[in-house]
Amino acid sequence: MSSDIGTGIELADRASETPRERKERFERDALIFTSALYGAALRYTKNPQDAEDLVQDTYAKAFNSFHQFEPGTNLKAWLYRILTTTFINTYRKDQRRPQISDGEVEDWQIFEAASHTSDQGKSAEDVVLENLPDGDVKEALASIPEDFRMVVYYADVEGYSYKEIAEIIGAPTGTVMSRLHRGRKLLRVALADYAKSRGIGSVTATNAASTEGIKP
Amino acid sequence: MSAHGHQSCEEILVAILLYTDNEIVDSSERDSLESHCEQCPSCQANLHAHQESVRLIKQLLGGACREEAPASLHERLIAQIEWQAAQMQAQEAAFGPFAGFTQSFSQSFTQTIMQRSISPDGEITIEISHTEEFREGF
Repeated sequence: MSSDIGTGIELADRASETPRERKERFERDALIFTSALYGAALRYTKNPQDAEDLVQDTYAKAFNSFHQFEPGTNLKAWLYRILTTTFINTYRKDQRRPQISDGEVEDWQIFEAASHTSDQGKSAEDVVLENLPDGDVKEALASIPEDFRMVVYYADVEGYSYKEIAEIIGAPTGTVMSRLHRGRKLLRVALADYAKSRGIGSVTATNAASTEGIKP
Repeated sequence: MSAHGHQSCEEILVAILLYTDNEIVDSSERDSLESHCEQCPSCQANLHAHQESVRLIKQLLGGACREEAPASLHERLIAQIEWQAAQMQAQEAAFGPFAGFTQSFSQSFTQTIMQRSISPDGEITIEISHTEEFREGF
């Protein structure tokens, strides 16, 4: 982190840059993340047209606030944060959606504790799921509730830490951890359902249910 | 379940989740988990199963969710940023560099004469005619 004095000088430099300079800096540093943002936007909106609009709105806001971004910190995560708030404020504004309880820590502890009884390296279910087509994987991810879906996406596609995800979605790290582990469980069940509906492999509903049904 | 080393198997189950996500920063905690798992077949199996499950999810999602933004979106973005930069330039031409400091500031700045008279360095005097020109641009 920069010192207060250093930050102050940098902020003054950024404030005094001309619009032309800002545009060049923005195009060079920020627009390279267009495809990454588009991927996340697709997870939020679930359709390409809305995803494009969301990315455009995100970049419009980011450009106006670009002097507030501190160079040397994580620009991509900063853009994801704007994407998230833009989605919530614009696209989800009028939607009434059920509140998702994050549950207690004991919830996922017990959940997780009961879910691994296999002593083999790779389970038969894993082998089946590995062969699922990309379209099924996307649909399975889209089928789980947004709060879980986005945390799984940021962790397992983008590789962000709990702390980084917490900053992007504006939630505590404990919530991130809880949503991530529950989200992965939900995703596995959804993936197993797709595999079953395609008739590939021997994943049974009983199998999937036995990992999901252990809630206090 | 029995205890191996300093932590119980219940504590290890939670630690396995963090360990797999590289969220244990303390190396002595990592060592403790590793030595526990070396001695405890049940936790060892849980660790491997969890690592394998996360690896599979990352592999599946990583393969499926890497969409390229369409070329038309890139074009829209370039045009949009160009337009925004031009708007900022117009504001600066009318009010000096501080006018464009943020969009929300400059917008409210144009709305009333009282606000218009407050300049950041106290030296900039803005003519009323300039304000009117600026408003016409929006």
